Amino acid sequence: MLSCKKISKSYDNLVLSNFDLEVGGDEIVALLGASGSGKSTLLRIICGLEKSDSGKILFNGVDLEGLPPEKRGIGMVFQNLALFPHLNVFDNIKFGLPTNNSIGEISEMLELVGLKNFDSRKIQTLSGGESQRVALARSLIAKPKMILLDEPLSSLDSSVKESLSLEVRKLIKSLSIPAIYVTHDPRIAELMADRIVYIDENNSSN
Amino acid sequence: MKVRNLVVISWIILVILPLILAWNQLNVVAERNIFEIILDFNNKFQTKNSIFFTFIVAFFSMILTLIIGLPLAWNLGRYKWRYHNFLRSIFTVPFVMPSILVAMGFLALLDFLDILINHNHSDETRFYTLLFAHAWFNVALVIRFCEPLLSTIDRSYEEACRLLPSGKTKISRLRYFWLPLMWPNIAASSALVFVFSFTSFALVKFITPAERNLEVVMANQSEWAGLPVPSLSRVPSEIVLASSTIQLITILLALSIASWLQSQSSGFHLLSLKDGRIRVPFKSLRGVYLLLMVMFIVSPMISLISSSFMIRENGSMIFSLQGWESAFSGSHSPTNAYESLKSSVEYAVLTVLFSLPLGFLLAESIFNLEKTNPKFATFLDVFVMLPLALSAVMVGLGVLLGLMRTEPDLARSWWIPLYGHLMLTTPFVVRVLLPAMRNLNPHLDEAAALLGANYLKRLISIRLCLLKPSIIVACSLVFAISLGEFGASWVVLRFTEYTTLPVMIGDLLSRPGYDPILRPAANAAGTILLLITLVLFISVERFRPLGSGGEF
Repeated sequence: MLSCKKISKSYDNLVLSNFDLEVGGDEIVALLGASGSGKSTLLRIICGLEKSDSGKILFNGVDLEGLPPEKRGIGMVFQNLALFPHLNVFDNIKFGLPTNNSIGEISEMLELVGLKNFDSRKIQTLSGGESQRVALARSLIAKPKMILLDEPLSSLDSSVKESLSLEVRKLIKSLSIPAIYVTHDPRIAELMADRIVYIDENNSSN
Repeated sequence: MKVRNLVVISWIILVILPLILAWNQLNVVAERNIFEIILDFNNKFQTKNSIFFTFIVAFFSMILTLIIGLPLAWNLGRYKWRYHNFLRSIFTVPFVMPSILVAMGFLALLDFLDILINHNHSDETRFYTLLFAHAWFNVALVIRFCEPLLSTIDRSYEEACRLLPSGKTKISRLRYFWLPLMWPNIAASSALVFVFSFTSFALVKFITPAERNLEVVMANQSEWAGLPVPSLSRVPSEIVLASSTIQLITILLALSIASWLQSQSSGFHLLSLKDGRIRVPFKSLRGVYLLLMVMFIVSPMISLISSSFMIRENGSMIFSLQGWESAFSGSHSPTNAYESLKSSVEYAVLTVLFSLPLGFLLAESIFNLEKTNPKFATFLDVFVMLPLALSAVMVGLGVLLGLMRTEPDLARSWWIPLYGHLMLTTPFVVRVLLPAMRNLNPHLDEAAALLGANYLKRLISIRLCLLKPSIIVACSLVFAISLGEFGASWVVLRFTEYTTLPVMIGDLLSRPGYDPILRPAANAAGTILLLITLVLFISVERFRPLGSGGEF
């Protein structure tokens, strides 16, 4: 269970102000809000890529303060997917594979995300949907205790977006881990999430 | 303390310490204060007219470089034809050529001129040759600064300009659109051309032996300057102190202007990611112009190679291999070409091995500071460039005198040139790697961290892999600069047994009296250096990241 308590963050202007959020054991929460409302900043603070000015983040009762991103066990799929352009599909996913795990897991994961036989494909040759699946597979193979998704479907057209949302939801649910899905599209939020949290300029949520 | 902080502090000590020690040593021996020495500078026979000559050469070289370089940059940036990339490589190769080779190439051209039209090398001819040699050497800078901007400007801006009253003619478009857009890049490249011409050493020393710029003045006095023998070294120390002060102030001023002008250009946002060049046929008037420019670039190189197979006999040139024989036997020089080349390659390899990690860590420190402490990042960025603001001779002298002050026995050690090469090449590593680091998608490193990769794994598996093309370019640049480095090596090495190829060439060209073998032997040694540099440049140019420019 994730618990964010009174998180504040400002750059030149205030982005988050005393923001509270709780996510249950295998719950998928959609964070819905306009551009600049602090959604992505909150995700970056949760996974440790940025520090909050104040507030506390507890994950399964452990305070994450001071813990570097690589030690938090939280996965993230970026908006631009951040697939390594110099590695092929197989090696991108292998990057997320824990050291002691079997290489065979990569093929299983590729099958799970519907990309069987894509192993040697270069990243540049993938379509938007395929890239999105690879990014998700890479994050999931690391066996994260929680996954954060920062508008990973935003570049896709609406029909692909909807079908893929359902697939992603199914996949995350099968792993029984909590997830936060950031979007500004209410339709996708409804399809994906168990619960929707609205975030606006004043960071009020409900 | 983090490794990166240690590297930054080491660099500051590496650069500052020898200069402070050298300054102190010169001051102790000179016995007069710097203002008195500068006021008296033009009255000494060793330095008379050298300030005037230095400024005049730098100014007119800059003008000539712009006259030749801007139309070339325009054609490369606005048009595309069949042999575009190949020609671009030819036009940019001069900048990596060792300056001593450029001097020899133009001297060989003068020799051919002498034979063809029976024209003697008057001082006037030599002066104009020097200007053209500077333009030849620096034309790549103008191309690197202006061509990337021209080639990526969205075509629609010019099209919109043509439809408006102020952009109906080519002249008006040049005046109201292109010049306001390009002037920061033109001015910044001009400032750098001025600096490189101001600190030119080998070209001035060998093409205009009757004249002296500040760099030559300093090198001439380097034998005695700073030595603890006041009766012999007081005047040389005064001259070096004043020359270096005048030179440093001028160069810092020019580089500050260049830096300020470059910061002005960041306000333009007309660039597109698309290639904005127009495809044109090569068989046209433009093609003829480009072929003429190719001839201008390749003729000194061809002259140098062909002169190595010629020897002057009874006023005419005849084919001979004596120059090559002499170069490889060492009959006219302290060492032979094998030994000198071996020494050059050893110094170049060691320079790459030290300079690359040092430059990488410095670039990474600046890159990280840009996010957390932008003001200190700017300071460090400028500070890293300091050795570029100093000339090669100043760096060599600084290292030599600094060591003389602390440990005289070390001053002739084999690793001393390495110190100078390290100071001169590390800024180039930073200039190549820093823009590449800025262009990396920051999310890649973050994604790797979230997948559990520690700093070392992220560095090896992600950053170094993605930076590989820029690292290869930096390696080759460092290797080429170190291989052909003349100024610092000449000051430090010429009386030791660790002679590099450029120092051997310099020694052959500086021998008093006339010997018909000397020049062909120097040309033969120069040809070896030229071919290595050319092969290195052409094989590495394809790794240069797309759209890269403006930073060597």
